[in-house]
Amino acid sequence: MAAAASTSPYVPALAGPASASAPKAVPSVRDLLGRWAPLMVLLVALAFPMIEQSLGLGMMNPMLRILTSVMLALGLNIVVGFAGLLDLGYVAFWAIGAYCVAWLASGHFTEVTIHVGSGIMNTIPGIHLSIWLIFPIAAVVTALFGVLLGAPTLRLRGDYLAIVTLGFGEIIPNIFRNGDDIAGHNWTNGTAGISGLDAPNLGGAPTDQMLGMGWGTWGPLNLWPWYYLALGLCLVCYYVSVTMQWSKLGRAWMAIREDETAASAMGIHCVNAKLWAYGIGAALGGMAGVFHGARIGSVFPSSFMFYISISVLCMVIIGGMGNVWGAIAGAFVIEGLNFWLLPSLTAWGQALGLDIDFSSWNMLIFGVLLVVMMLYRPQGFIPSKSRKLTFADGDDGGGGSPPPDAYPAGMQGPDGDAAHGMHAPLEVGHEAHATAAQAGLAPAHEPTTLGAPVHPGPAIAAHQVHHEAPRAAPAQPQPQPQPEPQPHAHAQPTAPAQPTRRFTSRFAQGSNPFDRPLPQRRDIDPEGAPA
Amino acid sequence: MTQMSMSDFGHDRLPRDHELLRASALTMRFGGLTAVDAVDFTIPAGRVVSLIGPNGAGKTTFFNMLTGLYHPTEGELTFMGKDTFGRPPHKIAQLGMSRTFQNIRLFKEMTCVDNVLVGMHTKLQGGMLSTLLRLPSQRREEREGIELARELMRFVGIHSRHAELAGNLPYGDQRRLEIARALASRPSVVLLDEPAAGMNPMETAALEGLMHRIRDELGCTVLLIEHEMKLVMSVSERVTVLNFGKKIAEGTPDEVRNDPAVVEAYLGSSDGAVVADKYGDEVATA
Repeated sequence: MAAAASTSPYVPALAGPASASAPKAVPSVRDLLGRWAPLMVLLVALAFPMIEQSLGLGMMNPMLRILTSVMLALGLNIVVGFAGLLDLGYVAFWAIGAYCVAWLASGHFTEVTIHVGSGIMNTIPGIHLSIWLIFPIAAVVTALFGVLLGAPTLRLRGDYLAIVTLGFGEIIPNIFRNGDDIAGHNWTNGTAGISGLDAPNLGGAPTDQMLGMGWGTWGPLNLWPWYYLALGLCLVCYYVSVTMQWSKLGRAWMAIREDETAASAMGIHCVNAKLWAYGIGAALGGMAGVFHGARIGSVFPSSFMFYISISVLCMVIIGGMGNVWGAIAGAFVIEGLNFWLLPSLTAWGQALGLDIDFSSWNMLIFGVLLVVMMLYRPQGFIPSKSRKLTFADGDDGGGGSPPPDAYPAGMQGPDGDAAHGMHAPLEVGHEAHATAAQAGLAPAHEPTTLGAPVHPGPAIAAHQVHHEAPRAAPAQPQPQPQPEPQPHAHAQPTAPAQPTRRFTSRFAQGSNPFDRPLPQRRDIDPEGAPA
Repeated sequence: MTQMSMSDFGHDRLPRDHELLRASALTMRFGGLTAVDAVDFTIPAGRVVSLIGPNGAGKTTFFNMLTGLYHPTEGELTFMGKDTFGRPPHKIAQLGMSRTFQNIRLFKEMTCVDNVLVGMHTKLQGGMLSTLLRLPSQRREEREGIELARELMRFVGIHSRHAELAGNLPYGDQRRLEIARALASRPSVVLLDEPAAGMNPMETAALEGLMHRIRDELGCTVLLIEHEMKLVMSVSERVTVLNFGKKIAEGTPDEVRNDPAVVEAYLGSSDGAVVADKYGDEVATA
């Protein structure tokens, strides 16, 4: 799964038809894993309800909660991981999404009677839209709120930004809590919340039994439809994340994260890019909110507390900021701990006669986990990876190239494609050549055919021998593979102090400051009279 | 390579010596300090122009005003026939000006090829809808962009490094990558802020060739800030000298080299009791 995130959607296209002529590298286990892991995860996820049912694990409810968190983590990953905007108020968008479904699929607004594909009796008052309509509506609404809340923070960076978003995260749930009397209307029903949300359906009558699995009845006893809905939503979030990541906008986000000034000098409209990040991140959070609201069947302001923002942020950080699979893994670990492992431990303990409520330890374990992670693996479970591109000519971008020191920077690359137009003389390189030959090794920068992976071995070895050269006089056996160990070969007076090429080049071309004539002072006449 | 390739460089260019950029009485004050004081400056198209001066002369401040990072206090600024006074950096970049930074500002946690692709930002279409739907046009654009990025990296002399994180490159290669990133937007003028800083003589010599190739092969005007006088004097066709925020000389390298005001700025006045600036020897003898 680690390499999965680095798999670019363009790899197959780029490796395309011409790769037949290029030398075929044997794919490593890691590459194979990277290519096939997402598919395998998807297959397991598709089969999960059947596996769960046949084994009787009782994991459906925790799994739904985990998948909701996966959506949230993926959404926040866009804002925090990609664009580097620390958002401590992400719960606001979750809340807005949940209230969207509460308003649009319940009898809360009794003044009106609007039914669109809800599958329930047309005479029941209130707004009753099909959940399939509510998802896009809520996505748009939360995206707008994301932009709205993001706009005032655009000039802020770092800590200041975090504090402002923290404020928004507090404001929004409070508006919902106190929204039972705004302009004479009961908008949110206050702390009592809105309950009695419509159960979603596939458009038919709720009693329809489809596929023998009860697709028409979405309730607490029939979790399969919920599961597949959540999985579908996660796939949407995943698709959006991965697609955006390697696009013009995704690169702009990462550029802003790395260096906003340089990004704007590259022509990136930082304001627009940030607003897009807020908007898209909020839309994903809003969809998670819709799912959560519909699943629970009721929406209370008390379920949108600050700690949810923090816990989603922790999922992103623990998983690996900026990595899609990291966010997913983070959600699985933290929510799996909270909703599955600890309750299970409690149950197992009770079976063994222990009366310990492990669930109440969740914050303790969470805290210890955070400390341990930040101490020992601060980059997260699956750290952000750069994408790996492979090209038709077999150039894999330095995977098989010698270390940077093995050749002078930019003079002659590992693929033998000499820098055309680089006029610097190569005398120093020839010396290296000779010494490498002395050591009985292949020259370090022998041109190789384009695309053939250069084995780093000889270059590194030559470099090391070279490096050792000046102090090779004591008869210490060199660890390098030499046909005949000649301890004095390097101490020849013909090649006195020739350390590494990099070092030599600094004093090549007569630029050694000690060799140059002293600067002439034009303003002072050498004879003594001022000019 | 259909719509994006290196061959696109150079077409749609102003004729040589046509005025590409004009700054009139450009002034930048920070509180009571006048960092740049009423400097008149023009960049003729298709040339390598240098801006030199002792440390603290206001060169980088001048760069920052040209590229929009600073809002100039006074003056006029015209680039490609458009008024760019006080416009935001991304607007000026879109008009065809790009730059490198004195202290390298690469996107360190991004790969080299992604760095160059960010530089290409203004030239990519990549709308939201076509990206999300992965339309063929968008995918082709990405592919061509990646190819062009590799070509540019080859142009500046860093090959097969595209998958490495920019922050992991050796110093000289980071400088080159920054130049490649700046060239990726196919700018009319590229502003190089001390590109030879920290380079060894071999790398500096290669840099000189690179600048000529940027001018000749890409048809891109180069504005250079540099302390390495040997490089400035051999590569530039015009040199402007700043000292304490004021322009003290302008002309061909030979004219500037022999200008008494320049010699004085670098070496001190002719009273004698001065210590030569570390660059002084090269100004005086080159």
